[in-house]
Amino acid sequence: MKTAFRMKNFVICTTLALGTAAVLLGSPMLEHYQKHLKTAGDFTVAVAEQMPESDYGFKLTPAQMSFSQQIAHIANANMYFFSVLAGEKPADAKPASQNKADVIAFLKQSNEYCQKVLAHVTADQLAKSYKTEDGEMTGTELIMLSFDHTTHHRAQAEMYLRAKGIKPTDYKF
Amino acid sequence: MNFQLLRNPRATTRPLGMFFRLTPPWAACALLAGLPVALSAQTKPELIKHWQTAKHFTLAVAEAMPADQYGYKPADPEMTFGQLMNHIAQADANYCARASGAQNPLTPLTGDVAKDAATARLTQALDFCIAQLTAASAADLAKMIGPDGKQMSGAELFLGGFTHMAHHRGQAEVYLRVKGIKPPDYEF
Repeated sequence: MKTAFRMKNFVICTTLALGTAAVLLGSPMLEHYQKHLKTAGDFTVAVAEQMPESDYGFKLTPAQMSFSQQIAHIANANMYFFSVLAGEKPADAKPASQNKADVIAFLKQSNEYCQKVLAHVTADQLAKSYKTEDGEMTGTELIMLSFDHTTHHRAQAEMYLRAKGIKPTDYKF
Repeated sequence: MNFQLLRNPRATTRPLGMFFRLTPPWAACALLAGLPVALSAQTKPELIKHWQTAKHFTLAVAEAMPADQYGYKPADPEMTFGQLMNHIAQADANYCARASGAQNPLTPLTGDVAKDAATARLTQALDFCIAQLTAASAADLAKMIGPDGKQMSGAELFLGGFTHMAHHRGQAEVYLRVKGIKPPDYEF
């Protein structure tokens, strides 16, 4: 009898575990985040590409960040958010210079890092609370912050393009 | 699981022995089964919290521009500040109506948008979004909506509206800068 019960348990548990694993692997919200992170990253690269090298230091008013600083700030902040999520030491990285090529290379490096972290994130990491420079946040909140913060600064960068007579690339989500 | 135990009361003569022997695998099963539930449940309170902050932040940006500058635009192809604020309100209401299936509370508005109208429409749209999000079930948030190939889940649409708002609010802050006004501090 004992053996029969154990066998039943084993079969039912294995079935449940496999079913759940399938749900977890196909976790819709995580898939959405991965999809939109990729779109957001590519969108920022497209905006960064639109500004000519000679105008990378441009800003509309003295109190603002320059175009290159806006793009580097997006990249740096995302590396920070996703390093917290990954439980890794925040990389205090910056572009080799404020030149267009170096800033875009830095942005691409940040995008790759964030996408890699999100590709391996677990449900536990999403639900867990982390201490951040902006207070206590769950993994999900860190991802939302990344979207919001990137969008906030990219939109400003787009206004710099407008000021230079360049039509910004269409909005993507 | 001993299904017989559930059907036959006499089989409860050894409930404790049964319970303890079954606990470890069932605890493991319950834990595994609970993870995706926790994951989907996790998104909603976070969305509500940050939609509320976004409402506060967006209204602060709308407030920072003087009423007589609502017709201002830094470049010709752009929207005026008032139109930009109304576009945020209209788009949020659209996203949230699509996500929830509820009636869109805003009727389209064309032409110039004054500060009081923009503020009223932003408040109405954001309150609508927060109310629909609060009322959404896990099934509502998981439901796929829209035409094939362009489908988004309810949760994704709420996130889409949230991000679209950040996009235009970010632009609006540059309008403020050009007018010599320091934008309100970034809030998330």
